[in-house]
Amino acid sequence: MQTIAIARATARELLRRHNALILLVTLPLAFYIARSDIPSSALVVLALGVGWAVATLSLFSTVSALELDRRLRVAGYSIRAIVLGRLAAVLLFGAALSLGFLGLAMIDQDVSRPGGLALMMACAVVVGAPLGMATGLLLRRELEGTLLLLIFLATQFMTNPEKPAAQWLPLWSVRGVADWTIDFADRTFLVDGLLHAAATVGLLGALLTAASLVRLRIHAPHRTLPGLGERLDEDIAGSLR
Amino acid sequence: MSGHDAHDTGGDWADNLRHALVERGVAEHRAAELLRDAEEVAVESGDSPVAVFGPATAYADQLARAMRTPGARLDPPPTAAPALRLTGVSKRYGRREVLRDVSLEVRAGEAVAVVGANGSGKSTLMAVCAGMIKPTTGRVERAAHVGYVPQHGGTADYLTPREHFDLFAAARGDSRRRGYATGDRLAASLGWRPKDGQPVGQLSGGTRQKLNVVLGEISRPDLLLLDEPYQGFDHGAYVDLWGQIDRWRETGTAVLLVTHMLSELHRVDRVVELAAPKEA
Repeated sequence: MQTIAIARATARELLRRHNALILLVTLPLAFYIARSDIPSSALVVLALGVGWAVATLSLFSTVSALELDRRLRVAGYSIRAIVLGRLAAVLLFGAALSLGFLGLAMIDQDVSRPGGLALMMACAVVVGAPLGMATGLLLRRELEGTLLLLIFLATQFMTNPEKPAAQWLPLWSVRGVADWTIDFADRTFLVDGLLHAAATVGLLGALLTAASLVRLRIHAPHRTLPGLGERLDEDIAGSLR
Repeated sequence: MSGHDAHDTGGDWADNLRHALVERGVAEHRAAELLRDAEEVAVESGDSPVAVFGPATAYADQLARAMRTPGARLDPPPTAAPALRLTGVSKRYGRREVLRDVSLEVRAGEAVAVVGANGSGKSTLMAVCAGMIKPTTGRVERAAHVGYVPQHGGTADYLTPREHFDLFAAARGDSRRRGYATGDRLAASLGWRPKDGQPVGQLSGGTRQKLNVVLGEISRPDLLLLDEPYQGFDHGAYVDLWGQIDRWRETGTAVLLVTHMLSELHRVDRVVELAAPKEA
């Protein structure tokens, strides 16, 4: 119930930030249009743009809610509910964004492996959401977080994916799946890409868990004193003895 | 006599009174009746409503408070158990000591005020009590269910007050409907009726602080921590808050309150003064 309440509140908040939503759509679209002269490359930057947009959305959603989340922790929310609820809402937005751009690409280009393009988008979204959230929890500031994401994602754009070092970047999986989807490379590229996405999500999940345990921690008292309800229960039990 | 139109008795005053009554949780039809009564009395007295009743907002405050049903008055618990106990609590950040050797106890049904100079660590103390900050030394014992009202922040600008009620009520597993009902009732006790569809970012500072107080209370805490909760309140809301503090005490909630309003200290059970910060 707590997770659903957080997801609902996050989704409502995001839906009301109209200008942010317009920019969220504009970012991958701008990348796509900029590379429209090379259709295969346009699909890759489109998926990377979706990942970037989702990571940024996740970062801002996390940082702007930090004070509220700490207060919700005092009120009785679990860390797990807060993190999963917020993540679910961002993933939902990422899924909607991906579906829209998938449709655009299918109309605009002759995509012979639409399932592969969907997997590229899925990799971008499932990596981007925890990446933005972990960055937000670690740095707790929007400017610093945005700059860190910029370092990750701009480097991703500029690095030759063939280089071994490129595999250390979070969205390399998109490139791996793209090799299979667009360049009809061997199936192992697809498997490598998906494994990379799974490993990155696992790593980011661990980082996110550690960061949330620190940032959203409520220190347990040395002793918990009985509340009114517990005292009444004790009194009733005592009178029945 | 009810045939007088609003302009005959001061249109602005009438509009202000109706608006202020509705804002303070009075139903619109009841506000219209009260306005009509006021207009009749003013006409009978041969004077303008403002001369008879004073400013519309102040009169609305009086009417709204008089109409509110007081909360159930329960006998204080026979053995008031402590809901918060701090023993020798200190907090340091590096070489800077922000809180020094604080010991205090708040029992169920008690209100304790924390006073002190700027920088004496009042907000840090509240955060330590809530568990948001770990003390460097000392012992903290507290009830499991705590409501925390920060000095500012702690809300989401794009959500409406009722959506906040839903969110905070879910902390204890309450349904959305129950959250709305409880939130609306608590808001009315502070003389406020949340408007549907108005996000918190568009509320005035005082109304946002009323929301903060409601959110602190909505999950039925045993211990309520209020960090200068009346910032931006008008006089009527300020009076309502103290009435609310009295009701919390009557129902067995322990209240720890940071305040600068030294004139109201006679209304609390005890006062804890924090040491002024040491000069560097």
